[in-house]
Amino acid sequence: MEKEEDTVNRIVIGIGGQGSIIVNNILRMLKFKTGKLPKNEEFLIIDTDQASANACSEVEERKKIILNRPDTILMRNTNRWLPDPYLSAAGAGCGQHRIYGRAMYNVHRERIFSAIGTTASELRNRTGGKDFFILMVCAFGGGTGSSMLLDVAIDIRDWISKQFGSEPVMFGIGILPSSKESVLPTGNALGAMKELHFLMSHTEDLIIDDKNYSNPFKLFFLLGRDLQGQNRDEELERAIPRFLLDLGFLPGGTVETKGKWLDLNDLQNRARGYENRFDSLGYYECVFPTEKLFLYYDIEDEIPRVRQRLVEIEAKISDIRGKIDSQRGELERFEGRIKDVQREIDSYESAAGMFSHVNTAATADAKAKLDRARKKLSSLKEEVFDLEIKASDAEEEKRLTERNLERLEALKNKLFREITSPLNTRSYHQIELSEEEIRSLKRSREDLKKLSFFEIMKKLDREEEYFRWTHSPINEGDIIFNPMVNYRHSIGNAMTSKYIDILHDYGFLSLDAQGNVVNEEEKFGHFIAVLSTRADNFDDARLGGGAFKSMVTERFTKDADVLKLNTPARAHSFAMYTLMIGIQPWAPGPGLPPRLRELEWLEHAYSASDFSKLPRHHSLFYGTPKPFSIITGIPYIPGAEEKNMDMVTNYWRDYEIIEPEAIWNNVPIVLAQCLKMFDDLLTGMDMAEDIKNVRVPDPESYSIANLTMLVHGFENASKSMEKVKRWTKEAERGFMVLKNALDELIFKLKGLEKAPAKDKAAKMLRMIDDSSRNMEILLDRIEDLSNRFSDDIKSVIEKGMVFLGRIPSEETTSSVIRHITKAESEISKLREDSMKVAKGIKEMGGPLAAMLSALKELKKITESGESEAEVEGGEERKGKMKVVEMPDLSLNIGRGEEGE
Amino acid sequence: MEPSSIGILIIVILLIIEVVVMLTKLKVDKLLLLMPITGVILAVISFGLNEYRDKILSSLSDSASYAVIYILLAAGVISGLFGVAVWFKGEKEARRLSSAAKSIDSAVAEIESDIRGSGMEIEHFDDEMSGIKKKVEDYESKEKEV
Repeated sequence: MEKEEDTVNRIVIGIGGQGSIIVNNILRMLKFKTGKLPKNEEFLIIDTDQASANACSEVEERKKIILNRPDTILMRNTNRWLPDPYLSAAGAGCGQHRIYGRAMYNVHRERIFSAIGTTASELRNRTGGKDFFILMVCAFGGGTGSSMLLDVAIDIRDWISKQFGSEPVMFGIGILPSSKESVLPTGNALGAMKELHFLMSHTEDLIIDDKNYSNPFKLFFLLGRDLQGQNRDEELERAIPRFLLDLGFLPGGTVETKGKWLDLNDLQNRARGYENRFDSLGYYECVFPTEKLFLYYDIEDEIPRVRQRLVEIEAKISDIRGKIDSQRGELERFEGRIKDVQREIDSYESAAGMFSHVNTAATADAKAKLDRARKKLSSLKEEVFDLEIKASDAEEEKRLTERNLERLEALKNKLFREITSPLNTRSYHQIELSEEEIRSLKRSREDLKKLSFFEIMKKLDREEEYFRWTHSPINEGDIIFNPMVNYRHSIGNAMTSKYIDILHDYGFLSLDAQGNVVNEEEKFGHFIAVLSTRADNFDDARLGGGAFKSMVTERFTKDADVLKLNTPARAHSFAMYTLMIGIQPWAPGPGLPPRLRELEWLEHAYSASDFSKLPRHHSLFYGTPKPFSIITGIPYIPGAEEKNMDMVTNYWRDYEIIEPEAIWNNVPIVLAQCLKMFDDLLTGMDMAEDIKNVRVPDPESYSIANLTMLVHGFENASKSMEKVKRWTKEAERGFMVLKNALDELIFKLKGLEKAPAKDKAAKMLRMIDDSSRNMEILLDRIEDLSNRFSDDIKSVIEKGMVFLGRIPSEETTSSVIRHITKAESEISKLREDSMKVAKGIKEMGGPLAAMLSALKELKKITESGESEAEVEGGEERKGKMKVVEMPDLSLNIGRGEEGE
Repeated sequence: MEPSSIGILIIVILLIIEVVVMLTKLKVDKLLLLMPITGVILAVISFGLNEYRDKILSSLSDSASYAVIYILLAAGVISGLFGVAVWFKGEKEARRLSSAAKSIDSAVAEIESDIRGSGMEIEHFDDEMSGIKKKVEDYESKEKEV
């Protein structure tokens, strides 16, 4: 089915360094693919770094909006709110300061608009269409793209809506920094995400001072630069343009496809309801290295030709050198000869008189010839000199060419290595070829161009491998892999899996046959896998799209589709693009990793900046306190720029990327952590109880065996005591953390208007009741154990002392004395530690009692579904909680270690 | 007029023609013309003596007067021939020198074309090697794309 001609005007805007590079790459690929730019598309870049913009050679100069740094006076006049330290920026562009980027935007706003407006008007005049699709690309870590993206998006949306009467469809692509980047870009990325999430969560129009602060984006794709610890910039730079071009977003309407297809409208429909969530792209490609192979063959054929030619050139240059020598001799000889002839002419002329005849015309002619020859000779001497230099240069050039030949040889070897042992990642697989296969394919290289990927693999008798790398990833569900998205936290660690068990027991989630978590609420919106290759590379029977769809919808997503895209241009590649729409980036609960992996290091870097440094990570609402105040309900003081700025910074610092309703999902997680901790506590207390059960032999029946048994008993008791001592400290800290988590959760729930679903609330209440009951039991046991622990140990020690005291003196050999000394030393340790352990056990009661009251409060909130009260000091707790991880109390007191 | 006078007159005329030719066509040095002119004068004298032998050489015997006449004539002819011979010699030398200059000129031109040829050949090699370099760069950039 050929698509109809596309009339939607498309503008691609790259903001900042990386955004511009990606736009440049898109243009390069587009020109390579189609040879020209479609009339309904325009490409713009906005950058504050001249050098970076200059590097974008594919972008027309007039489409480059390069913003120069204004002088401080202009900066100050335009941005009265801008604090002095941010009036200028270090390094290139915005110096990675988002606040500076916003100030730059304010200075250059009119220029940016004039350029984008002109482009939009040109497109409108050219196509006659009034519908616009705008794609904005930028990196979140820099200063320019991340700071201007939101303002540019809002302003363009408003301008086009007013100008052409139709709201543009806007998609965004944001690239997040890798875990290896410094604090500044990493913190910037979280700042930008917070602001973007804030806008995204406002789906209804919110017009203040003629500016609409609602979400301008229909879809916003987040992409990471990190692939399992490796930088994936190259992959990103390749994947983004390919995604846009192969899927037909650019250039519009050139994609051939059969049946159902994913167009802009379809994609918008799928994204409906998830506009307030992020999206992500995944990319997997299996390729047959035809292009590499052809290049390898070309180079392989070229090298001997070049080598042969260089030998010939060398011989010729050497010939020329010989000639030059002989020519120089000739010239010298002729110089002498000219002198001789000149002399003869002179003497001939001087012989005039009665007895001689001088032919003056002939001599004049001869003289002229000699003159000419003399002149030529002198110029030839120079030419010979030049020629000699040229010959030397040519020899030098030849040596350089030989080096080039070596480079070519190295390139050939590199290609050979890349073909025979490619560096495959989880998202890119290149078919590995043997030396023999490379040789055999060369004989039929012309046929390769016509054959499909599958046919080539068939020719090589490697069909199964072809299906394994192209069809099985869909069949077996591997295609779901996206390095950014972690929807499998259940496999995080042993502690997490215990939470999962508890949550499963209470019916909050279910587990499939492979032990994977199935939780409706945690699923993201849509998963779309687009398979892009030549039609004859597909084998529908092997694809198993239906099975894949049901597997994916069961575990990860609410809806899924596998779409086949016939792209003949990519005959020897089998690409799979995955669109994940409506991702929940936040952690499913305290102590669990966020679903968007990047958040782990972004939050860490962001929290490394103290309040005074936070403005460098933020942009939105600085200088515009009025709309901020109207939207957030936080009052502002007109004219008090510094205070208003601090207020905005404060708001961003505390802003969390989470949907308020999702906070209810934290309740079972925190409760599961409570229940797990209770289990751990019981285990610890059992171990403490066990210490007193040291077997002390009857003092009347002394034997060396009994003495040895007693010493071993005390040694084990001492070890257990040491463990229990450590554990009580850890447990107390753990309970404090859990108590804080509970308090914070209660604080957040109190601000919520929406109550959980009834059945969910019932499950939560059951969990709260169980937790409270367990806690009461524990408190009693702690009370009991702490009261009698020291006495129990004391009694065991006394019994042991009696046994030792009754050892007959005739039995006290040196070995027995050693045993007695050892036993006494262990007894002394036990006596000392028993006091500490008893104290530790007692102290655990404090946080537990506090937790019990928190649980009661939680129960009240859950029962009522909402609450009005504010908890004082909540914000302080919030700050504390973010950096604390839940300790795993079970690590040191596992039952397997009890026998030690 | 006696036949001998006619013969002498022819010789005179020939010598005059020689002088005229040498003067006009061969553009010889004026001094070299002295010889043929002397020859003409001697021949004219000889003609005059022959014509007026009876009056001028009457004192001499016939044989002596003939001897005078023919000696003068012979001297005139020799002068004329000498002038021609000198001219020939000069011309020959001039031609030799001219051809020597020409041969030098053409040999130099040959060397010039040789040198130019070598220069062009080297330029061609340079172009060829730049082409190779460009090809290598093309391969390298292609390698980045594949």
